[in-house]
Amino acid sequence: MPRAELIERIVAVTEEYLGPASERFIYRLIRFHLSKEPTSISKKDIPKLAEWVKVSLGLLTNDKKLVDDCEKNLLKLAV
Amino acid sequence: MLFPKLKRIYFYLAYLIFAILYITVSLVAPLGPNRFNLSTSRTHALQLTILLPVVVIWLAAIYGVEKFHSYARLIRKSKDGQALYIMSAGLMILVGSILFNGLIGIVRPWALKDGWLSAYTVFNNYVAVLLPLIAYYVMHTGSRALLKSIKARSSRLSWAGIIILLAVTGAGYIAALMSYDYRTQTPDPSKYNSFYISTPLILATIALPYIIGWALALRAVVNLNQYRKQVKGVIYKRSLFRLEVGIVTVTVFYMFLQLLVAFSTYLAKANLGSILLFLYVLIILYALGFMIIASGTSKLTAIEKIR
Repeated sequence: MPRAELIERIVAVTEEYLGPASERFIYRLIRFHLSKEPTSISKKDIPKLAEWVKVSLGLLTNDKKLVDDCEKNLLKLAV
Repeated sequence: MLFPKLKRIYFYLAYLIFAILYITVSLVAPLGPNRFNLSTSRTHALQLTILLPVVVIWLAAIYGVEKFHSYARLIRKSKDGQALYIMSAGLMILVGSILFNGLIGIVRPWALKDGWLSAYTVFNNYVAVLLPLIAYYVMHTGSRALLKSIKARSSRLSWAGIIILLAVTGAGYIAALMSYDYRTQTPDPSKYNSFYISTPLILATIALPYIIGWALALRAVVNLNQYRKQVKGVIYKRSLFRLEVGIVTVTVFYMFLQLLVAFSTYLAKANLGSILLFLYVLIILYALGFMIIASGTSKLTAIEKIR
């Protein structure tokens, strides 16, 4: 899968939770925690990113199921 | 783009200037005869019971609009951000009009005393019509851009509801204007207000712009509601819901306030306690609307800032 396509799929997953804010959110997390440009992300970065997404979403909502659901969907992109 | 970069301090500085001017000028204004036969000191005490809550409401309004503006500015490079930025500018104009009208209102005793009440009233009425009309137009433009950002459209059912609501409200408003005896002239300006312009002018330049403004305001809140319903994002939608409730409360309240001015002759027949209670309920609802806007935008800002 091309890298540019991977970031689009990651954003599409988080869009279900964060809507129009998802691209800004994911790009910020990648730059801050993975120290990478979003378009250069690879499948092996996904577990770490999913972990940070889980932590960040946990701060925004008390809905644990929702957060776990998002993490699970992101991890699917790593396989 | 409107209001490109307004620092937080400017909002509160403007508030402080308006609040100080509003209270001091109100208290030094010449006192006319009042129908409750109160002494000067009791009149000032009564004035303060109204002036202070109004100033507190202004603070709530400034706080709410500043939070909304800061959030919109944070994301203004994105499509939804640009649309929300325009909406925040509209809300800013609406708050500005509330403060500005408040200030103009305190000049009335001098206009009454020095014989320029008719010029003052005409100016005051047009400011009260024009500024909210601009605010509603800008808010409506922002709400349309918001819908466009997700390629959505407002439902036809909502438009039908708005048209029915406007027809009923507009008809009631015009009927109230037409049944008012002192529409063009008043025998006693201290007792009865007047527009000091001809009836066709009242209808064309005051009633019609009011109704157009209400239509734009209602369309803006319906568009915002449709956007929230159709946009993706469970967490985003929950935060946006608060912002929507706040904007609906504030907009509907302001429309109600404009209607109230038209029906003020009926209110004038009520006793002092009822008037104060009514004013306080309105004021609390209004403040609540701005606090809900602030709360909604704080949650949305958290989404944008979290790492």
